[in-house]
Amino acid sequence: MHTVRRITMVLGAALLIAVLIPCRPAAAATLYDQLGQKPGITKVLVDMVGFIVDDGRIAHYFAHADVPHLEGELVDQVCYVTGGPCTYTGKSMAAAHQGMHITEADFNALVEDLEKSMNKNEVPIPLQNRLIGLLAPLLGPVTYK
Amino acid sequence: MLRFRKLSPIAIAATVFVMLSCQAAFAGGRLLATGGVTELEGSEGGGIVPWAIIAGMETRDQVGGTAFYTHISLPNYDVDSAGVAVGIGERLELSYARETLSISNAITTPIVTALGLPLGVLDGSTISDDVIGAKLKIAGDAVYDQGSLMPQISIGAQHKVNTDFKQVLGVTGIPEVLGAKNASGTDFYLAMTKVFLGGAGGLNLLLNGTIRETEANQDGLLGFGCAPGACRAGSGGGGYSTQGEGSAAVFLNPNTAIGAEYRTMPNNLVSTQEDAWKDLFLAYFPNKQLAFTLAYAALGNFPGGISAAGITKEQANGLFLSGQVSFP
Repeated sequence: MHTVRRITMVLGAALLIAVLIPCRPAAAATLYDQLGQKPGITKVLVDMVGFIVDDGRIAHYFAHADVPHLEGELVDQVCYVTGGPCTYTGKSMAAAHQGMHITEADFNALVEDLEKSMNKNEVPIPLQNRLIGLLAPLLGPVTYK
Repeated sequence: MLRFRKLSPIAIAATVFVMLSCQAAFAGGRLLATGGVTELEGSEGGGIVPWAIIAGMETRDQVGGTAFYTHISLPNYDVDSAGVAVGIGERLELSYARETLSISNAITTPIVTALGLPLGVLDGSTISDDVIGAKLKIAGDAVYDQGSLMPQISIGAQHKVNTDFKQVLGVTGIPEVLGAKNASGTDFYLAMTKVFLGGAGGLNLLLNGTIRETEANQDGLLGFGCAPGACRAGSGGGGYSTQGEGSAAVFLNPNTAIGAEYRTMPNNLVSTQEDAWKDLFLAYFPNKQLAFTLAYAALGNFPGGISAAGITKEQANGLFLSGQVSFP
């Protein structure tokens, strides 16, 4: 009786751990690959910029932006942070946003536009979460400058 | 119980009003679900554990808040709690809640008979706690500090006043009969909360740990501490003791989380055994302003009745339902 219960508990714990620990595929595909490499990332970010310029909360920050240049920089940056073969050559995040006085609410509005774009492009939720996880630490360098 | 029934239509009307007024009129600066829900004592958290997160959907340069209502349906008890909280700059949270334990006559009638009190004197008994809470975020950010293990850390206090410790007309209240010493007490806690974005096989994972210093019996619903002679051996005389609390949740999608909580209790009173509180919950966030929680709560033992051997135990397991409105 005791042994059965112990085995059940061990199996239960193992199952819980198996569910909680992320699966690691043998050939570790980067998030860059999973997002469809540069074409996939470009589609998501071009759509995101489309949502941003229509987003009354933050559109004014982009009123005078060179949209194709901005899209190029965003693609390079996301390609780089997701493990793709790109280098980001633009200014540092803090320098690029100096004097813009972007608030945390503005930052979150952009994250929501990114989520909207990822949903539109049918990016699976786990990939969405990982990408947002990589971009979340930008809050500090980008806001209140 | 009667008092609660009179109050509930007003509470429902107020909730509906706030819900309607919040629809689309405001947009919280925070991301969906990052405001959590409200735990039983009125602090932002899970269902029964306060977290390090500050109430409301505000960011550091905004003011926000929440209103909530929770009902736990146990076999011979009901627990109801309603309250409001204000979050200032995602830094300071101030809260008020009123928790009420309603006791069925099936529990009180045998006690009345055994004590030779007039029949019906304890019918429809309720015991309430007023809880005033304050919480201060002192370090970290649960959501944005990704790529490090640093959690959001907050310290908090909950001052609880049991308004039915001594009953009117000179009849001793139930907490005092059970041997509780004080009608009020203050809990102090330190909470650490961390969200791992994509941390559970790609799904978002939230972990919380809380350490609490408390004298409360059953959350204060049965008073605080223990009177001389009424203390359980090993309870340290019913003074402050350190309790541990934990929550874990996984977001199945941006709107839905499932999770579990565990909270240890002091077990001060020899008259009635107090066990850890547990729950399994499903929380649904249809938008930034609303949250609904459905849970199975297992609150251990409550006093069940009276026998030759003393007070019997009553398994307090049941359904937990909660709704929350957030702003801005």
